[in-house]
Amino acid sequence: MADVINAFSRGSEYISLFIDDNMKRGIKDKSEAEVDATLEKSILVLRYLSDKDIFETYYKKHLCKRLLLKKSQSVEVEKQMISRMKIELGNSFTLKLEAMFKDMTLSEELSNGYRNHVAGMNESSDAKRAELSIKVLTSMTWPLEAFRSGTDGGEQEGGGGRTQIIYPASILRVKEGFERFYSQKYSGRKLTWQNNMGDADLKARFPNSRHAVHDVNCSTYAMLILLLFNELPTNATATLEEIEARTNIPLDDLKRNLQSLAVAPKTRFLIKEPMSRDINAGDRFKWNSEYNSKFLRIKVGVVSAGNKVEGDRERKETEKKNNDSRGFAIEAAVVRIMKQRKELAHAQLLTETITQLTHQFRPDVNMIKKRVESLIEREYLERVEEAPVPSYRYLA
Amino acid sequence: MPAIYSSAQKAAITEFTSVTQVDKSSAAKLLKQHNWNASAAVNAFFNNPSTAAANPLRKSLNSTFDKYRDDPRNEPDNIDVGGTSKLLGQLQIELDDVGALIFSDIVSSPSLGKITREGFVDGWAEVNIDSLPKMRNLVLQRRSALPSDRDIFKNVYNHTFTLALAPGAKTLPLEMAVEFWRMLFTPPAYDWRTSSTPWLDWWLEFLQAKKTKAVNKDLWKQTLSFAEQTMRDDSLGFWNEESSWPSVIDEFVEWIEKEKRPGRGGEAMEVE
Repeated sequence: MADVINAFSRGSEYISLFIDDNMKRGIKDKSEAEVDATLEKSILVLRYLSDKDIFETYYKKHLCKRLLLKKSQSVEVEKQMISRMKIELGNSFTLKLEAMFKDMTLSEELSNGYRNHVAGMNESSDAKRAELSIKVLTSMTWPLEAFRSGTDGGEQEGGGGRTQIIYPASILRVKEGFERFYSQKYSGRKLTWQNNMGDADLKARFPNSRHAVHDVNCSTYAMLILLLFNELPTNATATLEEIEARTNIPLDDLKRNLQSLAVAPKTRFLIKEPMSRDINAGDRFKWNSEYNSKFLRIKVGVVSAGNKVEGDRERKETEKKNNDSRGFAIEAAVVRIMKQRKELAHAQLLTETITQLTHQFRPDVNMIKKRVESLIEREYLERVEEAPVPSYRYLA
Repeated sequence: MPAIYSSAQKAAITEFTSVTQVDKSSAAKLLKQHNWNASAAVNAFFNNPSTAAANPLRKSLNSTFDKYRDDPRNEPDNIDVGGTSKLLGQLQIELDDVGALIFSDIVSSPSLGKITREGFVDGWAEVNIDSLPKMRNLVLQRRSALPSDRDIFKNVYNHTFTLALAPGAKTLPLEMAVEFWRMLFTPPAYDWRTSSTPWLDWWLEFLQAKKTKAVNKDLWKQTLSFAEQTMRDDSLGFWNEESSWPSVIDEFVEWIEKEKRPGRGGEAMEVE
């Protein structure tokens, strides 16, 4: 069984996607016993998987999107899955996953606290003030690569050169208000806003629609775009470049959101000129005053927000990151072993390193050798001269 | 060949020399007599200083050293490039001959062309030599022993790496390493070749093909071990990918199997 599972190099990703699909759709309308059986199946396959570290990476990423985009059917079942993994794979494996749930709970308390805080202020009479529901995520716990926008990697984020989003005054006020509130509670912490993961509820009025006011749910970026048109005269147009300049939304995200707002038939709040599927440079947009829908509540879909099989490039990146972290794990294991044993034969060091790490992954011998070499170069280890078999000595 | 001391012994030597201002090898001798107990040795030294310090051999080595100093005023305890080449010239040792490396090993030169008083006096005192002709003899004697005496060759070989390093550097640029490998792995030194395989040529060809830039100490030392093994087993039967060779040597073996010995197949290689 183990051979079959591990013969397929993407096994870890697919197992996580299988669970992802079940958490989002599969377990809907299923009895408790059926859900149990599904979870048990996943754990069974997981038991035989050797790349448990890669599985963890994918699971974190998929879970992250489920939680933040509110796609999960049941937090209860999510937690059940985690506790099953804990039994099967141990405490250290689920530590970060549990921390993610903890962040979610804390965030709910924070949002409530902030709401009360705002209610206590004089401004509370201001009915127009936007409400904020915040998720404060520990950056070490949550997989940052999941925050990147979709298919073509995260160039716009690379090197820390994150673009500064321009918020309209009404939103900026809430943002800064929360930042003040948070820094009073926890001094010394730094908040980085992940706008591409947020969503917003808006009230929208269209003169010719069946409903006087629609409840619109859309991404944070789509909200910024729509609010921008609020500030423009009714028939004014804005080009793609103007919108980009006035919001600073990364171009890829901007195009994707404009596609939802100006191309998708059910949520065409904007009219695009010329009319076409793709968003191109120089395209012009204006408010669609003719918009009409029989639905009171409208959800603006975001293209490619779900969990999908990774593309080749994405996968390479995941692999590289994974190899790096395996390198660290190997080095740490070698140092642990040598620190304890002081002197050890090469073959034995290989065996012990592999034994220590099998519950995470199956280390590659060449990778171990490379790490040992690097430790020798950095003078953590030395070769024992004239030893009967090749051996190393730990240098304190 | 400088003696090798444990770290406790080294500490005792440092302690002893800092109190007595005696050179290291005399310190070691005296400490050895007192079972490496530094305070006992210090007491003995001050009770009877003549036993340790007043050594005629060292006196004469010191005055020989003085003659070759480049800058006695500012650097009274160093001989620099000028003095070294003058000294080697008088010993009739060519600078680009492996003999120069043997000489540098005996006096523990810290870098190319430099000699310290301590290294010079200790090094020659240890082998009980203080005259130039005897020095030349010892170098020549060791030079002819290089191919056969493993310890002598290994010391010269390993010291060469330290000698060739630029100040503060940890690795040797490839061109430098190649030059010294050529000196050390061809006659009259250790001839790294077998009747069927020009090992040194292959090694250098491989490193150049691979565009290696630098050689670290571990690779330098392991290259000698590898060379010795290939001399014993030309078919590389001693090698397998799980053994402890540095990755560059692993890649060298793979390169040989691909470029130089295709068809001989990894594991099925036969020893004739």
